Amino acid sequence: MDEVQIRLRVNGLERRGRVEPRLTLADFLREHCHLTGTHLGCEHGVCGACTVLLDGAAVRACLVLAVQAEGREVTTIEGLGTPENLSPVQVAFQENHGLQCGFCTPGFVVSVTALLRDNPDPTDEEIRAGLSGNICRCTGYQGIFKAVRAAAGNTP
Amino acid sequence: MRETTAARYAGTRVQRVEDGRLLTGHGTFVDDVRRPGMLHACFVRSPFAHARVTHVDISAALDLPGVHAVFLAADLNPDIREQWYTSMGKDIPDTPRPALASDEVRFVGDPVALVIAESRYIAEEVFAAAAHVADETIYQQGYAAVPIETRGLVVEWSAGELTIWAATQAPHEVRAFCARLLGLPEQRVRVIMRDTGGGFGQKVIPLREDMCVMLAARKVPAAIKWIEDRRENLMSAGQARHEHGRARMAFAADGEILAAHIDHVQDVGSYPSPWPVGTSAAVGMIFPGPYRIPQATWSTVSLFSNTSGRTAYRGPWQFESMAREVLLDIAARQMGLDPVALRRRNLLGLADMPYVNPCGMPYDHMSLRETFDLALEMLDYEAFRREQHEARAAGRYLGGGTCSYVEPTSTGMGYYATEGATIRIEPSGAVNVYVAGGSTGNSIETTVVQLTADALGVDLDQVATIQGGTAVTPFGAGTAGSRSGSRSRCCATSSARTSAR
Repeated sequence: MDEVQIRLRVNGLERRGRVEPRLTLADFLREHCHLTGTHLGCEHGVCGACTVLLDGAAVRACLVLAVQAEGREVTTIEGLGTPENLSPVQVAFQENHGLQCGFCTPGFVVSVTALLRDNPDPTDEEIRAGLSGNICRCTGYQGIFKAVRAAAGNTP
Repeated sequence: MRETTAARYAGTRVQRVEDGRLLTGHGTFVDDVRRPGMLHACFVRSPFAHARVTHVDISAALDLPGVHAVFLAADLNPDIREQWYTSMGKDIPDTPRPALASDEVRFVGDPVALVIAESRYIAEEVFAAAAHVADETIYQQGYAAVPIETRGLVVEWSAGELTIWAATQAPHEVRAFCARLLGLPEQRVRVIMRDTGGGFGQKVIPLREDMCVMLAARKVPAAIKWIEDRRENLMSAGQARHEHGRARMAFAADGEILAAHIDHVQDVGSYPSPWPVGTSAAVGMIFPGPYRIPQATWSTVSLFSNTSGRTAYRGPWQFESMAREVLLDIAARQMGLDPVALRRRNLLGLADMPYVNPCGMPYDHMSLRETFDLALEMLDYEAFRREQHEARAAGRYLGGGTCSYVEPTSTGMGYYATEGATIRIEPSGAVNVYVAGGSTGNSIETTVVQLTADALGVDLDQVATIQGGTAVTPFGAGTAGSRSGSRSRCCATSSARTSAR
């Protein structure tokens, strides 16, 4: 299959690659950029584990082709905080039992980061709607909901 | 020897040691593992529930650029030396469980061929694929485990040694099973796992696809990665809880339970693992549950069907609780008793301990009635009943129900009785505690660190834990049946006492 040259920014760094047009953005991030924090749980847009920011908008990286990210800015979970310097959303997840196995967690953290940026003071219903695109199988959603509520309080 | 130090960490809220890496995308799940020249494996599966395989033409697949090999049953299955699970041993009557289906497929999703290609994209292109008796038959629908991370493994055969990176609840079982399967000495198989994205029973033993990748690994020149997709996971990664039972209980006029009986039937699919009987006997043994019941009997039947095989799933005997508690609600309604009052009338309490249930299960140190009362007090059951009554008068229906159960964990038999911990106190005073691991989100890293810190009387941040590598950790049965926390407690605590001495 013919390959296409692409150029985009990922977590502030320029990345170039030659990719088949069918390559998903998720696989480009995981296989080409070695950013394995973007997880794949269903590969058809249901579970939300692969959520990344594309020009600031939360998108499912399994439903975006790498070629569609040409010239755009991608932020992955690796761009939001480090173990030594967690973001307010990550701190809130840790303090409110917002994760167990951690597989869905990057997608939740990215989704919630976008949610609170756009709506720093959400109602309970808005938080639930904001979480509705991500599936967690271990923790249950009460801890995650509490984490979002706590993070909303901390977001400057 | 010093006395046990006061528990400073166990039972308190501490921040999980796993969270830093998991929150920032720095975990190591199996699909995050890359090996030099790694190839990707993909299964071709049956679209039919039951069919004969007369001929498989692999020429078109092999013609695709990037396809390295296509394996059929005849290529992989003859290499199988032994195939059994440690938990059940090799002498139980088991179902034949071929790696790939050969002449007959038995469920939609049955693996028929294994394609090895340079990338998953190419690999998938290949197949475009008494006074009163309550008596009720209670049905339960099938369940699937559906961890958010599907199954997967990376297998690398190099210099006569096999290394497996696995998404597993039990790394030592993966090693033991693989060594038997391939006829390799156990020392030449090494299993490594760090993070597993949920298991729920699905990752407690290797299944047929894992066998295929293990068998194929010696036939290709580089590591093979197989990451299951969600469709495969739903089709073929096992099913559970498709079962029914006729449950009966006899009561005295005042609601005292006199006897209980269950005739249980379960669907075990086509290739039940680890064996067709599974945990069905536990359904019968635990059916009396937390109640004082003088007499009980049971029967169980396992039926094969053209569906994915039955596997472990979160308390695989759970049907006993569902059947018993639904039956008690039916009985309470028929006798005109409050369902909570009926249960309180029969619940065992601390004063009844020790106790042996009528099926022979010994109970001790259980505060069943006391726990039930505490839960009702927290709920304020009487206030709820009043609220319910008022709501109903206003045309709104509110429901309330209880379900109580007793189940065994940390089984004291064979494989599941096995767990160890090694504690190393480094020259700096830093403490490392090594346990088998198998965490699938159950915080076993944090738990072991808490327990070790308490047992040694050191601060939490002085302790780290190493888990999931069969080459360095003591043998253990991993995460299954709610056992890892309690088993690891015994090991970490006793090892710490020895270290402290």
